Amino acid sequence: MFCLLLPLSLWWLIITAVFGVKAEIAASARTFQVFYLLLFGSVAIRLLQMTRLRKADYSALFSGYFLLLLSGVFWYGLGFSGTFELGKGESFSRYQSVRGPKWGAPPLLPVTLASAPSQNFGKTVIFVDGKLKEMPAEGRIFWKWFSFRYLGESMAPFLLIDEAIGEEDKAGFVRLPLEKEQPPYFTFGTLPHRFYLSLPVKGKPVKNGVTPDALRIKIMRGKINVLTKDVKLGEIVRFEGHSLRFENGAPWVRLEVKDLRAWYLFFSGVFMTVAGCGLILSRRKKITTDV
Amino acid sequence: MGISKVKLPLIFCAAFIGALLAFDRPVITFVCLKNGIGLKAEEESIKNALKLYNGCFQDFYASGGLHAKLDEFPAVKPIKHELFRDIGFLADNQRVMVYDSADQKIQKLTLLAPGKVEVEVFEEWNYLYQKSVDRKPFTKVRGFGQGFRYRLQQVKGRWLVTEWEPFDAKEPVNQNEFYF
Repeated sequence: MFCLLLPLSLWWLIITAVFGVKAEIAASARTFQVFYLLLFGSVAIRLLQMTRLRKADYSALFSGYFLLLLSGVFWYGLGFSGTFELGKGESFSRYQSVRGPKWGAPPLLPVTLASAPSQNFGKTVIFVDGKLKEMPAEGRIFWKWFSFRYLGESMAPFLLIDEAIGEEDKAGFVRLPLEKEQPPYFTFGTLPHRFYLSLPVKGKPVKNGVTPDALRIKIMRGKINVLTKDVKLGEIVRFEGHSLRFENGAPWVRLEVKDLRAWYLFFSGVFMTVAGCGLILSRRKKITTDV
Repeated sequence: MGISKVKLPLIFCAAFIGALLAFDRPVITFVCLKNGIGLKAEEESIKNALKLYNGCFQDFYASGGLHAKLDEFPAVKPIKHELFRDIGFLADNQRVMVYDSADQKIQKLTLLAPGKVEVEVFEEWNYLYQKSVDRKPFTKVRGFGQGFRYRLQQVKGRWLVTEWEPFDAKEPVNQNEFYF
């Protein structure tokens, strides 16, 4: 086992500590993964041997190693963390950003937003698997092996395109970015334009839960900036044969979800390793004392 | 016994290094690039990919959407679709747009992961609109300078643009730095 552990540890240390590369990239090397699996297998075999021999101390130690290595598998390949956004009454449908899992797809979460903090005295209320849960601004809530955290609230004004020119209109809620975030772009129907919505550079501070009086609308087509304008609520803006205006919208919140299985396994592994070491040491001490 | 205790771990370490060199070239390359080894050459190939991207971009618009350079165009499908949606939009309005790239300066290059980079470029462009029927210009030549943030991914040895985003960038003061 030492022969497998040595190159793994050296690679990990040199790549992350000396070369400053992310741990995730160090673990993405196929050689690392093969050696890791071999080590995992050999630990599993030793654990089985010790269990058959009914050596409780070594069984505890090897089950500790086994859990620690398993936590690595979950951290790299099966675990994930992500963010998602919900309006009032909206159920989870997709992740806004997601890291992992490398093997498989992130789960669809049974989460629905009951109310945003601006509507409920600073607390986010969500339905998780049919059960109502209140989430304080700085706190977390737990469900199964997931933790949920509130990241922020903003507004989603209602945007109407082409309504003013009598063509078939396109409309929808468009989420404004959270404070200090770059606005993401969105597209409408078959239009080639990219729309960016944000708060005006010099505007009044906006209260959560209230549609701002004005928005900065930037429209790009190809590399051309077609329009950048501060538009008032209800004002009609015309661009390249199309029209646009925004009306009162609804609040939305961004939540973060983390898969905690890797952490549970890691702490269980540490506990079992310490317990195993403790048992081995106490047994040796006992033998020494008896002699 | 003593020698084998030393030898065996060394053999495993050597096998590990050998396997890394044989099967994990992208990771090794990334570590080298991150520490400045071979970075110049990689920067050059990324610059060339962006040059080709903008070159094809110009040609697609100027030709009113001819597909001749579609395979050469270093971009992923969604980018190609977006571009041709725009050319279609112009065609529906009996217009052709002629872009001319005046200058491109790379301001920042960030290595994100093996085979993935983000590049911030300040670009200067001139453009005008022509009528599709007779290709007579119906606007004056206009120009603009704009920062673009590109994400590129290496696919089968080629750098492809996977995302682009405009950003507010100041025109670089040092003309020679990153100039190409």
